[in-house]
Amino acid sequence: MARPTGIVWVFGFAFLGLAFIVVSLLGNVVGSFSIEGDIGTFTLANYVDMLADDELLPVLLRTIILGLGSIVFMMVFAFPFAWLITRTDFPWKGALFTLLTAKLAIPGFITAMAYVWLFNPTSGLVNKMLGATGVDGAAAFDVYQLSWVCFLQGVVLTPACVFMMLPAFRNMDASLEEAAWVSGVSRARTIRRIVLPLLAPGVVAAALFFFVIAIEIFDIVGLIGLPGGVDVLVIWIYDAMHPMIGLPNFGLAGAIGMMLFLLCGIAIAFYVRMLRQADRYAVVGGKGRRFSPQPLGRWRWVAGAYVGLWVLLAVVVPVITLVWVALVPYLQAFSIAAMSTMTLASFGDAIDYMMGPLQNTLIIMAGAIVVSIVLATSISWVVTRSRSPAARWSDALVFLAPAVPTMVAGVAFQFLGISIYHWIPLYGTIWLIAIAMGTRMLAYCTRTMNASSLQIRFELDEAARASGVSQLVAFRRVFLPIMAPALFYAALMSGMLAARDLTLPLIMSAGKTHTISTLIFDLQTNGDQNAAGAIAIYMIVLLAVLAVFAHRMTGMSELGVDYSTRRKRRGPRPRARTPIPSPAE
Amino acid sequence: MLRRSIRHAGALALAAMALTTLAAGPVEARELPPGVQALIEGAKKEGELTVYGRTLKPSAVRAFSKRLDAFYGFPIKLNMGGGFHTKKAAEAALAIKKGVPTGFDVFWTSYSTSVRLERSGAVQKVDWVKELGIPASLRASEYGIKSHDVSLCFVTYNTNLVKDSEAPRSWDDLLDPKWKGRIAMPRSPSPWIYLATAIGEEKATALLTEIMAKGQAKMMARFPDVRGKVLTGEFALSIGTDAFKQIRQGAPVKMAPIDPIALSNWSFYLMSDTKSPNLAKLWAYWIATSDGQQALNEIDGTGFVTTEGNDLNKLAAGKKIGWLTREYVQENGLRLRKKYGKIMGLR
Repeated sequence: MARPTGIVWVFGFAFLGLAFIVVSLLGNVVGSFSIEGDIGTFTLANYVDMLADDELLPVLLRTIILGLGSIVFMMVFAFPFAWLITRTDFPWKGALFTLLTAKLAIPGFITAMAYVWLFNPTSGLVNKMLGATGVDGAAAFDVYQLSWVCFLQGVVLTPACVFMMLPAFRNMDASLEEAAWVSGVSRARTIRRIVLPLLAPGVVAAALFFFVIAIEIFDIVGLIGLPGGVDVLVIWIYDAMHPMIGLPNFGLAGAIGMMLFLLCGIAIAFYVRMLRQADRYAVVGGKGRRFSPQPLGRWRWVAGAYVGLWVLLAVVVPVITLVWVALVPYLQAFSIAAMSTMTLASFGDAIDYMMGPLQNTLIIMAGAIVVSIVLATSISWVVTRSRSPAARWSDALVFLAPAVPTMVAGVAFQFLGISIYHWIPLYGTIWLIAIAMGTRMLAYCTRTMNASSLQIRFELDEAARASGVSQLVAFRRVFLPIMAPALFYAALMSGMLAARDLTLPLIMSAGKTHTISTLIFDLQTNGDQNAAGAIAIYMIVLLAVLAVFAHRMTGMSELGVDYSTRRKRRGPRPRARTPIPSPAE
Repeated sequence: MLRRSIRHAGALALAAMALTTLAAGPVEARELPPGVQALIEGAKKEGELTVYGRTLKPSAVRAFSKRLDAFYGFPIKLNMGGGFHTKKAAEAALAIKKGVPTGFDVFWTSYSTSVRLERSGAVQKVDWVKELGIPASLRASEYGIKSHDVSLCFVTYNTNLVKDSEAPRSWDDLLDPKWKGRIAMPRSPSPWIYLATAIGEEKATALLTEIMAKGQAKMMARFPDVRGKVLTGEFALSIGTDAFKQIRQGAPVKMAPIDPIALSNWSFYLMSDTKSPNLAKLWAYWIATSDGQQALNEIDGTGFVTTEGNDLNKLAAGKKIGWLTREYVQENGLRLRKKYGKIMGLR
């Protein structure tokens, strides 16, 4: 019989993770019934005001279009990239991985800024080149449109989506694909009838998760949607939380957050329904999996060009913009005349400015990774390895978390810090920021892990139990090794997003805990765009190097290189890559 | 209004003259007023001061720290940071109520936040005049001490797109059809609340209504975004921020010579849970001296409008000034926020 001791820790961490999520959810719910900023008071006026607003329906519709449009553009790139990296002999996998990682380090507003410079109607470089500038539709391109917001959000969210889907793509049993080819089924039909259905949990989870993220993030909406009059729910939240006089209107922001909950709820209902049929997607069993990457042949050049297109749109354009911003003394558009003012001074200033904030940022990154991975792994295990309905609803709770506006979540954690200060003095420290960030990442991490975990057959757990192995040992020796790629990508994302998150450090610090993101914000606010640009470039390089280093150190690079060439050198790969516990364990 | 601004300016000039004697260089402790001298020993033991409110670049914080050390003659570790003031004020009030340290000593902010801070008991009552000998004109209610003057309704223009002769000279000039869609302004009612003190509430309301109805302006999320749009030439004009620093750097931008202008004060408030009360008072006192004012102008480009020769003083020369006072904010702030917010389509 399996011994229950030890596994209590996993349940304990899962409970702690859920408790942290409840803090932010509760913050939103309580806030939505509060009179403006006075938490603790009670009113229904926020809901009445919101529902009585004539603009609500159009705004809601526009928000749904924003979410759907963003995930369509995102999937156009993310799905082929995940497939190229895991299932093919695409020769530039390492470069693609590095560029996807580098993109994570580029703040979304920089991408938006670059496109505004290129495609704004009055002075956009492309419009100028075409001789078609002006207001009121006179320009050839007008970036201030909903379609551009969707496109740019799709481009920006692509790396996170690829990393979320990679583990599920990797764990898929290739023998099923191969059987289809051997039987003469075409590649397109194999993808449609075999690959896509098997990847459904991973792909649907990613699509639903990023739908919620796409309607909640403000970077691109703020720079492009807002000047263009593209009114969506996140702009309402922004208005409510940024009054120059009086308290932030947590009440209205909370009520709008509840509207986001509603949209999430629809997505979650769909997802929970899919979880009920989890067995249908389980493809990782005790037997070994043969992994044979699809040869791309001449299509590798088409694939390369497609990847190149994304790199141009997502990396080259913003990085060139950043370099330009860093080189000129004040913000100005590209011109020959402006080139005469270029200087490298900002790169020296940036190093001088970065040291203290970099230390804080690295601590927060490490803290956020530990919090998110420990808690998410525990939650994911409880949710996916248990057949209890309570576990599935716990997962739904985690899924709701991204719908809470980041500012509201930050305020909720500050209130938590104040409430527990006399027992645990976390308030005012960077550790509370790390916990808040880790909690914000739980939804992403659990989505990434669940997709992999759902592919593990329950027979493996049963076999372990039948062999007298304790649940904790099975968790350590079966669950964690199979989940290693998912853990790696979840940790990578947590670290990257913690490094560039601005809202939580800005809300939660009191003047001593500067991070790189708050430093960039401070510099920008003061018009020192060049130093801000130089720091952003350093951070992109640093984070990309860290990610590649981690990739190699953890052995994840084994899965990222071209197996066809590796096999030529080392001979055939072993059949089984998943460690199976022996009865003795 | 004009009389008030003259009275205010006169009082500040007198204060500056009275304090000029302190500014000849690093001041020895014996030259300081007795109330200030009495703080020195305690301040030396405290050693560290955290000021919340301004987003300054690290070199600016270091420059302030250096000037402060030189003024008092002993090392002071100065931390500074900024963020969302109204939210931080609410959080600080709750923390103090629960006996939890806020983590900072001085709140450096505008009247719109200070009114809330005072009401919640999060800041100390300090008799700056009696205790430190600071001129009464610099007192901001019973709690604060003024540091510098600001405005959120300056108008700037891009000199590559707008000739000096074409730049707007009155607020009504913003309605000229040639500016249609060419003005950038922040998604905030604050510039219009400022303006209401200079041209009157009715006129400010009518102007904003027409600007919105005619599509003269596009709204940006933040004040710095507005400045960036004019610098890059995407928009010809902006309402909301100054561009003093960019002008010094040689950027193609100028401040429009619009008359009248509207100003308000920023002030320091001592948190009631400050761990460095002596240092906090020394900091506030120093900023009020001409040495502190000179440092503000050199490091941050800010200062009192009455300080001869600074950028604000030059811009305001000969113009009528409307003052957004603490009382005006208290009486009209929330009402005008809602009124102008509605015209702008904000929630």
